[in-house]
Amino acid sequence: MRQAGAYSGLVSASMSGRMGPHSLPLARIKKIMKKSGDDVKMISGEAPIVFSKACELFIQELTKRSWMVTMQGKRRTLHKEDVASAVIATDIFDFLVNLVSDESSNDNLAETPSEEMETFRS
Amino acid sequence: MERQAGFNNYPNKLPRPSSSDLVIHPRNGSNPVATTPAASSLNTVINNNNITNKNNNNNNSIGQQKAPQPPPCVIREQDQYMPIANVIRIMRRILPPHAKISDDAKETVQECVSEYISFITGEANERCHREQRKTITAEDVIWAMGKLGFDNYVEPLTLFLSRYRESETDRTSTHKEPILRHGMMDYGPMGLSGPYGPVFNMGPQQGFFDPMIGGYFRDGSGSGSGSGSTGGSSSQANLPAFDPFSQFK
Repeated sequence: MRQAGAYSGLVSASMSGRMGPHSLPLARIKKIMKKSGDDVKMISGEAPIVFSKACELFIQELTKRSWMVTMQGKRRTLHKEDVASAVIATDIFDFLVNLVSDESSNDNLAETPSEEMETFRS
Repeated sequence: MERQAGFNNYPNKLPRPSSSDLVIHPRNGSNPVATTPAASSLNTVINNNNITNKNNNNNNSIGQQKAPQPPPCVIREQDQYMPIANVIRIMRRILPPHAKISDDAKETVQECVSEYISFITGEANERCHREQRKTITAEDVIWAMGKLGFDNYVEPLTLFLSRYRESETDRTSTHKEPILRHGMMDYGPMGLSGPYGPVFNMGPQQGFFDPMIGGYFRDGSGSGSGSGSTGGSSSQANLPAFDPFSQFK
């Protein structure tokens, strides 16, 4: 039985997001949420959905800012250093500073995210 | 963590008494080396956990077992990050077409996303604790973003959430076209189960959909099913008692 096409009628002018399949897998988001702390117990079904949109916005913002650094260097390839510069230059990305500067040593995240949050929560 | 129940055991450090397939040679002060190729890769921490769990009793009686030390952070990479393909896709949407992304930049952004989720969740979780609630809700998440400086996300996300909720209520309300019954069989209330891909195709924008689908199906039922449908050839009569699967019975 034929169905209406996946996105017919779903074009929404306002937000770039559509109500269609989310860009990011909800189960994975939930897993990361649970891992963020031992005391994270229950997560409502909508929370990962909000996160999937939020992560999209986050990736877009981080990418935009990183690309601006790339352009300043008159380059066309976005490098990790550009991301690091964007993180350092942006206040709200302070929680990432350790992450981008530690990466050169290329080990797994030894610190738990909660520890990092302690540092950056003012 | 459901699948890694034994995760904070110390997979590579505990020797196995019985030498079946996996032999682990503990060395003092350093990580023991497992000789099977499978066990030596990070990705098989789950295998190690299973083995460890089975041999817990035996291991306790072995003098070789060292006092528990903090294990190396053995997490399957695919579990702690968003899939890199999705991340790359979102990045490319923003960048000009000629732009290139280095591999390490992709990985860095991937890691940043996970860090972001943890960061926000931690704050949201704290708020839940303060208010003595057990469940982190979407509102908590949005609130945490506002608190942590992501104010410009609050409005789009609130809008996104309200539209999502509308689409959910629309989907489940009874006055909708019966065609949607076909869809609703597959969809859990939250649409989070496996086939959540197709869930939202038909839900929202009901204003657009009703005439289209209703019209579409009227034609389809009239011509396609022949005599199978209830109500027979008269398409108008079909809708209230329309059973999309009647032709398949």
